[in-house]
Amino acid sequence: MQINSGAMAIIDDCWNRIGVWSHAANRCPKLQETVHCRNCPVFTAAARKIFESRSLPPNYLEDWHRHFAEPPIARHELAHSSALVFRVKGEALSLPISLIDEICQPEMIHRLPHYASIVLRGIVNIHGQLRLCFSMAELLGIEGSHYEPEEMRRVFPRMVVVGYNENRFALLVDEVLGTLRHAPEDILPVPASLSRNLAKFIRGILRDGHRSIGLLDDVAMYKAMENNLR
Amino acid sequence: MLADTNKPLHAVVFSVGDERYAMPVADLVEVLPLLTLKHVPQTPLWVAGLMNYRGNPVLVVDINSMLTGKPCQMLVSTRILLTTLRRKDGADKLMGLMAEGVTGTVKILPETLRATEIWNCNAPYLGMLAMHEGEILQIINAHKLLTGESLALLELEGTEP
Repeated sequence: MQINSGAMAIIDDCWNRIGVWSHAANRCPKLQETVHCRNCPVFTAAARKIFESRSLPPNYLEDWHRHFAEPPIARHELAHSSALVFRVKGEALSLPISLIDEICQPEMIHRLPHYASIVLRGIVNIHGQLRLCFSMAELLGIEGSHYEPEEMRRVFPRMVVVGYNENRFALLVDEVLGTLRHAPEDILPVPASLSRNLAKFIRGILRDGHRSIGLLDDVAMYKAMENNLR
Repeated sequence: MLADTNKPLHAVVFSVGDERYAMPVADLVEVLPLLTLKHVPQTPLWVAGLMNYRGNPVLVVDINSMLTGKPCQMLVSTRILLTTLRRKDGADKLMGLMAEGVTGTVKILPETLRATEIWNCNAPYLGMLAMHEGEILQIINAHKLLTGESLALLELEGTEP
């Protein structure tokens, strides 16, 4: 059998004639070395020839013309950023994803002597490294409410490890909800109805469907963490 | 560019007739598929036409036509190598090179590069030869591809209001 591939010359399908797909008694001597036709340069060259001789599908020229005539992707779309969304009691909060080092299962917290604080819970061992562990609820002053729906009271505790300069901290949260991609203009102003305690940690509000998510001001958060170390 | 002789050279390979040529990726802006071109009247045969690239006209040159007098076949593997050309006023201008058999890139090791024994002043774009895996690849210097008359054509095209 010979393969006629469009504009190109006829290709000798030696793999069917004397190769591994043939029933011939005298097989190709090249098989001694290549074992299988797919390792053979002749087979590769033939495959390339078939690929190179594919003629243009219908509307190919027009479609590509239209595609490349479009202006390049606008700059503001490239300015999108992502945030990690998590829940602390009844509040959905987020931090820029660039600050997140990792998310892990809660580790055993070792209390620090003479540092009996409900905010600074102690130190944890993450991959052999000791990290200070903070309770997000206590740090941000979020109180649970009995009026919250059932789903807000579920707890899937996680430790979110964040980096700040050269330091890494573990933050205790009640549930990690996922990531949210947003444009700079998607960050809405902080509503006045937010508790003043929490409002000082919030940079803006992101909307995800019906849910409002507070985008945390990482600088204010780190400052509060530092204050707790004194 | 062949400036750094110690590093491997990455290049896009294409065919002109049965010969294989390579163009360093450092000289390329983008590799585009074939697309509808606007024919430019009263230009040499090797001027394939003008393409609309992101709203700007870019001249496309048929390298097959230029080197052998036979235009590129209309196949999926025929593509447009988008490169830049330095104009007299110092500004870089985009130019498309239509070439056949553009199916991949190769890594050319510096020790496989050989100088050509023949110097053809009519073809200053011919660069070094690469003895690459049993075949000879001739490196094309995109910046020197257009000479004399052909360059004048592009300069004129670029100075239009």
